[in-house]
Amino acid sequence: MRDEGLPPGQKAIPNFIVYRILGQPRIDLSAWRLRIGGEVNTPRTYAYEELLGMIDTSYVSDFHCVTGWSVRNVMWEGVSLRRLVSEVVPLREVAWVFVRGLDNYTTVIPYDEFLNERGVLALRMNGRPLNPEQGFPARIYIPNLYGWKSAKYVTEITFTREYRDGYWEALGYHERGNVWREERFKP
Amino acid sequence: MECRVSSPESLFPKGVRAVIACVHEHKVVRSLEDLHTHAVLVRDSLSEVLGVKGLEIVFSENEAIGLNYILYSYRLLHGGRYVGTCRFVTLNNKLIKSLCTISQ
Repeated sequence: MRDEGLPPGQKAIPNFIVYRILGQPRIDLSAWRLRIGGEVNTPRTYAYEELLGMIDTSYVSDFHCVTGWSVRNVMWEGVSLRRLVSEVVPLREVAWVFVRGLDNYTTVIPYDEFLNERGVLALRMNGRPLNPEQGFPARIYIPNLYGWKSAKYVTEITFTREYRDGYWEALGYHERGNVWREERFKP
Repeated sequence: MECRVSSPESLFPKGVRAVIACVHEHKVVRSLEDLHTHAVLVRDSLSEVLGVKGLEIVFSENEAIGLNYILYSYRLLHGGRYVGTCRFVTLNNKLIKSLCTISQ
């Protein structure tokens, strides 16, 4: 039976299950920076306050974990990923985006998904700054990808033409992870 | 059964030094007993690849991934000491892949 409006194989639950596969990193906000680089024309580095001043996106959307649970109606606020892309200008050959968190968690996102019009570097969730368990100070959120692509405590975003596995991809999970196509594991 | 060995940097933070991924022939798995046969085959392949005798593979837990996939986890032991984890993925009760991580 399908849970109405949810992608196939998902069930709605009331709240997030928190995973911290590599532990909870300590965040020193004065030292934290988001570095965006790789195969781009203009690499950029942002401080938290700077990103707060760039918030341009706010919407409500469901979050889907690959294990099968979903949380409905989460409010996301942050900086549009398209805006970040426009500031660094990736080379034409770029096909993948490699994301690293302060905990050294990594994931890889297809460039075309990263350009999703609702893709956001989330700084706030449900009307408040992200809490530590949800990835403060910043996490990726792309509505049609499973949650493992929604890296927390993001500190590096690297554009690249070559594919390489992130943490869960190295454990057999899908390169893309589209929730509507149920791309849970690699073929 | 075809297996491939790799050493992904993304798993270094977890202390994983090698990954052995095997593709299976979609054999039906309806019980842990069914899966045990495949687990033993994987263990024997690992023994060969790693050049280690006396590996044990012990069922640990399983969990649903969505409604159709089930992930079965096994611990790999050598002389009673933990050396890694093997994960077996089934899709609608057919074994599609296994993936073992070997710690330092």
